[in-house]
Amino acid sequence: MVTVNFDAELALVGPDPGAASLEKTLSIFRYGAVRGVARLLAAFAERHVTTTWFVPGALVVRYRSLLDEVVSAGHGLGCRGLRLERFDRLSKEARLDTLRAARAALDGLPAPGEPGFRLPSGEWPRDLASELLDEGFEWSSSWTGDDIPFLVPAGDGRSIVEVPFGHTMNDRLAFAWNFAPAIPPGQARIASYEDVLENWRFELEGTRREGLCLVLQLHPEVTGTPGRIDLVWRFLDAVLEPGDAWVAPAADVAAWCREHPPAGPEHPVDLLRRISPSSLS
Amino acid sequence: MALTGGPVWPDGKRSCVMLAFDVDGPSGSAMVDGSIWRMPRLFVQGAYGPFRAVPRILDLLERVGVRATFFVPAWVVEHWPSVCRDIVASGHEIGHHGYKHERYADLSVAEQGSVLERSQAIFEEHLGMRALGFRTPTGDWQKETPRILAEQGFLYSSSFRDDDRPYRRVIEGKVSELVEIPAPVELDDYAYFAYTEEPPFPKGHDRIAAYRVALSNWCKEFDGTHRDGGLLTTTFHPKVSASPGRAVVLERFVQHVVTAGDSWLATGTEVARWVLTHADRFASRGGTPGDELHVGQQ
Repeated sequence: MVTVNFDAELALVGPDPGAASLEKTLSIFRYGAVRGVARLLAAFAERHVTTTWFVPGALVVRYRSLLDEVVSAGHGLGCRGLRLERFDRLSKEARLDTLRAARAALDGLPAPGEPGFRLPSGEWPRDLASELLDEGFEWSSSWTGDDIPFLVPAGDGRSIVEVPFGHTMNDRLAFAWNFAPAIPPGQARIASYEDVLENWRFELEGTRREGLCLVLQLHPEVTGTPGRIDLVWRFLDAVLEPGDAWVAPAADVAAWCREHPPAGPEHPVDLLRRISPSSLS
Repeated sequence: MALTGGPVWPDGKRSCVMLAFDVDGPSGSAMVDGSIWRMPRLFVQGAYGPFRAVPRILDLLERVGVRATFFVPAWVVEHWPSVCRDIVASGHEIGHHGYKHERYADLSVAEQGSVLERSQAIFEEHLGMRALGFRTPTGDWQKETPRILAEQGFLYSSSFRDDDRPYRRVIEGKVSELVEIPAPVELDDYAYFAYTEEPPFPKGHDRIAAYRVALSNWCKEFDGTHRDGGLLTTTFHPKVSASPGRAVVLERFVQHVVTAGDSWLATGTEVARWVLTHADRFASRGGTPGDELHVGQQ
């Protein structure tokens, strides 16, 4: 499953509104809209890959024509709040208002499939699964901790389908860099492109061996550069070459999992709900 | 011995490898302070270890035909008893690693004793065994800890970094029956792969290492250990180094060791018993270096 987080300038301004005056730093993130999105869309079109784009609702107006291109190419959409909010720092009312407004913004785009949700950052509030269902989101891709989709319980026998990812498969963790404010906080060196591609191929090999579900997270400003788009090309070619991988948008993966719920021992997300101290509920 | 002496291992084996895993699961400081209960994503990321990664590792070890040692906090045994029974039933060893992965340096003598006793009772209840091996959770212990371990019947610890051969620990001036099997950080997967969003790990959110580089480093440490006739043990955390892709790397490392042919792949208890029955071949060491060096004193 190939996903794109199109955060644009909100990657910086969402968590820190005071950063709105940092024109140069903002331009790092604007690069995705100016150049990166087109490169990613071309790479996907050449390989007939349908992906899922997570978009903060507040960007829909600003980047309407770009997003029209995304959805008209058949890619699906997911919600990333209105402005990449930290949901664990919002009140229940504020979470519901945010989801409702973000949903309305996304509904203005004629995307195929039901939109899902990806937590921008921070922790998962205990009631979020039920709030998402109430606002019409049936699936999420926000957690780590598994190699196949699972169901996050929402109470009253309801659940939301979660399609989890691993941190290795995220271009931002490998490549994003800025001088001030420091990104990443310890200003680690930009990783070797070839080594990152090889890490992705290791995960692809392990996923193929066991028949699992691999989720790639791309960011237009990160892998939409002239040098790094090559990683996307080569990774997608490695995925497609054997001819036996199902490359699908998240809504389709989630729908399939809803019909074929994973079997096996109790999932940690259920265990957690069972054993959490009752004072937290 | 080792660098210059003759063989110290059984059957003329040239070196020894104790393949070891720390199955922390979601235990650790966030569980000790209770914050984990408000961090469901962190809990599930940790639980990946016993839930998904340990079964994958057991399959791998069976394919390669190698036995390993698993250090498991007793809280993890309580919540994943059948996975832990599978570890034992597959011929591997389980050792002590705290109840909730407590830092022993933070515990009083009485608390250390009660964590050990409580954990041994849980091991007996769920696994029908008591741990003979100990690995410090989260770093340091206190100077009384080795004495407590010896009194509670532990055979070995695999916690320190100060040698590439096992040694007998000196406790309160006397050579004890407690063996130390040092574990180098170079074979700790946290130094390469561990990553959490919050709390941030690594602290500066450094990059995840190249799998190829980690594999190469690990193989080089084995090659050097094998050349010098020492012992190499690992601090691999299933939740960290047994994702689908990293398990491929892990398997290549184990294959590299097995392919050498004359390295003794042993569990912690096998190593410790060998050291105790061939005491003349191994050093003894212990005490608190700070006492000799007057660290922090004028």
